[in-house]
Amino acid sequence: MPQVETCDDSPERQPSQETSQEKRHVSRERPRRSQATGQLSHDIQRRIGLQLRAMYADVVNEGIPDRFAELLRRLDKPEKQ
Amino acid sequence: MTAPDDVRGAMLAAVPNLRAFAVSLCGDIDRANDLVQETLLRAWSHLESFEPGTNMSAWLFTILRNHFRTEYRKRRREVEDVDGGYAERLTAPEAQTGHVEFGELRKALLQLPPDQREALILIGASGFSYEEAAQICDCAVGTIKSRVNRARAKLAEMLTVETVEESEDTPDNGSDTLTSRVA
Repeated sequence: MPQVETCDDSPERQPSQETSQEKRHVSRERPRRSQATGQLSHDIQRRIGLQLRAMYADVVNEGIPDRFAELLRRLDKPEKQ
Repeated sequence: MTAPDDVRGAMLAAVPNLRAFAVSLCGDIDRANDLVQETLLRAWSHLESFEPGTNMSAWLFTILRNHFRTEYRKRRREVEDVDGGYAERLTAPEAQTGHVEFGELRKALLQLPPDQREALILIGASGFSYEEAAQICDCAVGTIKSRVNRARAKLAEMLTVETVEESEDTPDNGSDTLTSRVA
């Protein structure tokens, strides 16, 4: 198996979408970006990382819904009935 | 065969993280719950392929990830030829999740290719090492690293563009939602 990217199942809409976003990005965003360079991007990455973890933790903190505890209890005795 | 209690306990203990991973992958809490349930059932019926002493959580993540991708391909084939409705539904996750406060991030996440999305979540949120993530995704460590980097760059681009648009519309509310939420 090749050790390179195999995007076989990437959505096909991705390229066109990216193109339109790239255009917006170029026309609106580039002047600001080039001024702030690394600091801005570092800052954005930090915020994205924090929010990603917060979003994830939000679901983790819901704990174990009853249906899964129940499911595993039922699996507990497979062939006894 | 009856699985030892600690195996059942470990499976149950992994549920919260599996759900969070599943929601991040598909953006839909109901579908995420179904994915987790399928994962537990599959794991249960393949317990013999789990090596005791290895990471139960990583094993379950692998099953969930593979199941999601199989389902994703199937669904895509089913609907994409018809009207592109799948893409539309993918980019409207807020209504489906009930976690509206992360709507923008979820929306952006769902616009990433699945291989980048899963890599970013495994590394950036689930807390797996690059080696573990590579194992779960059945690829090289370097591939995971490049996927994570590309995912981060794309997210930053998507969320920055939104931020600029918002602050242009409402100058008084200049601090973007990302900042105010996590600050």
